[in-house]
Amino acid sequence: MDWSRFTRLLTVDDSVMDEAFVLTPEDQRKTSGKRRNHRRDVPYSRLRLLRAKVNIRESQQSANYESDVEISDKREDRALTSRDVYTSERTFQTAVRPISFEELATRAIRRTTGETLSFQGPIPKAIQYDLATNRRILTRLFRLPRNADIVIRDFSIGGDHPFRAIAVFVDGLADKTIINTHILEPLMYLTNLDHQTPRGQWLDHIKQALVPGNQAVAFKTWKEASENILAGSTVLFFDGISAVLSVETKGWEHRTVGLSQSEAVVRGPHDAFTESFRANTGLVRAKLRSPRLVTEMLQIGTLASTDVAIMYMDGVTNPKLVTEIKKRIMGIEIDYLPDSGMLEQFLEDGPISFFPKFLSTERPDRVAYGLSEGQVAIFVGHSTFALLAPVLFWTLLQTSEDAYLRWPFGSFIRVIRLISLTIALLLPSFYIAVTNFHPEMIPTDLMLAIAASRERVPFPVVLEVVLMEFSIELIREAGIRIPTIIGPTIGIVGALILGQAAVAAGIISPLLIIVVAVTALASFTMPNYNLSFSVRLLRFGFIVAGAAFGFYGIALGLMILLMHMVTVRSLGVPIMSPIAPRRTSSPDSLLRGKIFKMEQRPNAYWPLRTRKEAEVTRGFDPRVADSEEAKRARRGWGRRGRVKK
Amino acid sequence: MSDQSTDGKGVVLRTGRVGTVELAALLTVYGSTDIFLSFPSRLAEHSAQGAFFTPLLSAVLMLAALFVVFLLQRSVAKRNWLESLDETLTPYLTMPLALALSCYFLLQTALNAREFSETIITTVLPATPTSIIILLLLLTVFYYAMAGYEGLTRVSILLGGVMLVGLIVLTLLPMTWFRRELLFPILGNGPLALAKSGFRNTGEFPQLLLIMILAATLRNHKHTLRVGIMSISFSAVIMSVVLLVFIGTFASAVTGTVPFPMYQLARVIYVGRYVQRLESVFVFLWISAAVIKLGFGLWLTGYLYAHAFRMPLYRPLLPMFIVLIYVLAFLPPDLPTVQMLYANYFEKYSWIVTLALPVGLALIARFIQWIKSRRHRKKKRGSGKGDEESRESGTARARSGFRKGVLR
Repeated sequence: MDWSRFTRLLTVDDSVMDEAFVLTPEDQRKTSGKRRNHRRDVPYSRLRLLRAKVNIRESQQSANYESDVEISDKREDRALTSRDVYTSERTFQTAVRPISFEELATRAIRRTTGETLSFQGPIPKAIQYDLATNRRILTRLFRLPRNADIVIRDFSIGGDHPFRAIAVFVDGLADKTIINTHILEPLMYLTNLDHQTPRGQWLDHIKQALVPGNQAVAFKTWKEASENILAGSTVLFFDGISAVLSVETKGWEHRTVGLSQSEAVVRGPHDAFTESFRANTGLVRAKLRSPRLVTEMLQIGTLASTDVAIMYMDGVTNPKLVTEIKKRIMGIEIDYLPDSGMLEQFLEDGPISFFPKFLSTERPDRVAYGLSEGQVAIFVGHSTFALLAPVLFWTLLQTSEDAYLRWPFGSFIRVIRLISLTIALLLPSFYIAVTNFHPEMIPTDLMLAIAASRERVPFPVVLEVVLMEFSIELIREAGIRIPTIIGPTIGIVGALILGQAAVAAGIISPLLIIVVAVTALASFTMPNYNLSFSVRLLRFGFIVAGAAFGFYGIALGLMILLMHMVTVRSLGVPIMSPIAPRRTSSPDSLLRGKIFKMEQRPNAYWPLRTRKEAEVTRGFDPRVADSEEAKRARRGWGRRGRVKK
Repeated sequence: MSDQSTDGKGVVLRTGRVGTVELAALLTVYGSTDIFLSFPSRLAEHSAQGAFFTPLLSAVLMLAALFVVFLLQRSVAKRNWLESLDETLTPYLTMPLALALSCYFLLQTALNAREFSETIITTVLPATPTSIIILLLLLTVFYYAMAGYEGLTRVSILLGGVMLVGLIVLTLLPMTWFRRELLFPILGNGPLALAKSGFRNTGEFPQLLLIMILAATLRNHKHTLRVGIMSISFSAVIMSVVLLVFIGTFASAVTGTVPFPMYQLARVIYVGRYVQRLESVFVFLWISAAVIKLGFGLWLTGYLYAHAFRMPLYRPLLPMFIVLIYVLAFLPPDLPTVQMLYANYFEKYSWIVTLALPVGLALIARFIQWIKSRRHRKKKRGSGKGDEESRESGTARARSGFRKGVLR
């Protein structure tokens, strides 16, 4: 046991207090205020540009040589311009500080042996010719050796005249087996490069013949190289070649595709998105096998970039939607974007609104169906939720199971959900209004029952309701935060014992327990997490309105809410479409129509192709069997009159 | 967004574009909301048992007027009526006209706001001061007017169906009290009195005037006439059915003395032990209709005022108008005075605004157009222009709205 810490605490010494880490505004002043928030370092970089000289080699290509990147191997000393600079950030402390003599001596020795720890000056955009320079840039770029998970593996490419190369990858992100067997082994043991061939052509040869990785791409800028390293690829630098070869070796640990947690269904697929970007896009593509399905990639983040994929059906989705989303995403300048929930907040139309403007879902089947309807899907990094836009209010009340069930059952559960929405929103406020303002408006027996149940309660009904609603919110929040094993126990303790005890103590009336419990149950039926939040918050607003002005307050509140809902837009589409404003659509808003009548995509999205089904899809049905379309359908003709192959 | 330029100088009022059903729903709600107030009681007082015929007669008159106006001025179907008048008459004449209409809607909205708030006090919140009730109502109305014309039409279409179902429930459930003999004599005070009442009651149908003003905002101009027919007919049928149930339930003499017959109707509902006294349903319907009506009234006030003075925006005017409405609503000392003002002025003379004005101005505009075209033809004959010039002048005539077969 280290007793020194303990004895130190007993020492009367103010420096004990100094050791505790406290982040104060005073600490921030020690580093330059300008430098902390100055992203681009413009004035510094200009000054350094004048002084810095780097080796820039122009390409020396033979006439018959074709490569996907232009490779330079001619040295030229010239001043860097701002175009040549990748980043001019300064990683080490700039202020002059005293160092020990030992450190000074160590530095001197390193300098004489040519072993410089970091690259001095701004980092150029282009990959350098010298491997040593590239290595120094890597050291500087990735903060080595402080940064422990960046691995630089030096090796020599085999043959009569071996030459040096390095492989750079992130430990934990890259699959080491692939690196060993598909990169290092072939290059070190199975290679014999022709020394007479110009080095500029070696890269192409290595890529074409020596590295058996499934994806190998050559790059010549540091931006691409560093992004690939951080994305899990292994990047190979070669001595005498001003380009790199990025070999796809992604292999980090992630959860396998699991069950849907927040959108569980009985009938229908159970898989859900996981914390893997490519697995998520792949899940959708596996369900929606169409060459029209386009996945466009963007990156957000200046400090650390996050991949953002925009997925849509070319020829179905309105291109204006795609352009608008891309425009909005590209307008975001942020250091780091960890999840789709944050992107949603950046992209939404009216930020001061209770209703979600994006459908966040963890179900690949829902995304696939949305894409086929003309929506756009957005995937963010390793987020387990994809975003679908534009979204309609009615979609927020639907689950994918509604579509998998036959229409009477689908319609029935939708009606139940609509009633639940009304109950979750209005029941407590209605109860307050009736008991406080309008007891004459309910049947006499019910009024007497309410009065009898409230006889022993010393609090006003508003306080009762607020107390119980607050308790429910506590139970809900506690149920999410506490470990899964004791979660149900807390639920039982909270809901049953607390409620029972409150009634027995005469604090709460038994009828109110029923009201609050039914309200909570109703709010749990909301299929969309964001919408359930809206309902929870709005409920408190209605409680206040009902407590202050009874039915009048509730009615005015409802009117304000309705007007708000009809004016809210999701990516330019009014969320109450296709009812207000009216747009042509299949019977799929309030109720679920028959599957063979779902002939049109929602016109609210303005898709390029509105029809999604033939007029007659059940040609065998005697009710339509005599029609021309049915005859064609029976003969196996497509809806455009072409023979289906 | 629809750009409605008032002249060539680029004055633009943006309203947005709406669909056929949305506009029809808004105009129907706007036209039939008065049945929740004391209007049915006043009508029963004038026309006795035949009161339920009155809205039908008024609607027939309004429909005839609608056809006449559309026959005289086809451009009404797709252009803002005030803009057309700017061209045919002069802007100096349309400015006072728009200002007068703005004042009309302002006063009507103020009186309606007071009547609604008094009704709330009488029926729902007897202990709350009028100022608080009206303040809350006007704040909501202000939000509606600020949200704009598109929002108003969308809320109307959302609530239109709900209100229709509610009204059907409210008119069917009191059937236990309904007695056919109370409807006789079916023509009330006689056919002449009925016709007179029907004519006077055309003031309750502002749809013709509103369609002429709002035609340019419709997405499909071919449906302008359809909107008019739908909104006038639906309003008339709603009013008539409600009056029929009132008179059959309470008798005309009693209906004439009840300040809020619809509320009374909801109170008498007794279908078994648990379906009784549905005032709560009534309150929701009534407040929603009131908010839409007042919101649209305020929006029209701002819109017409902005049009009168060639302002490019109307929203900055709304706070001023809402304060004016608040002040004007408190000028009458009590509810009977409000009802008296409504009966003696608005009901008596509203037909001038809703019927005479559109028809009269359409006639004048058509006459001026006819004179202009005649003069133009004379000129053309006198100067003896060539074929090419005559083709050009033909295009100009077509551009100025001249149509073959109308008054020729």
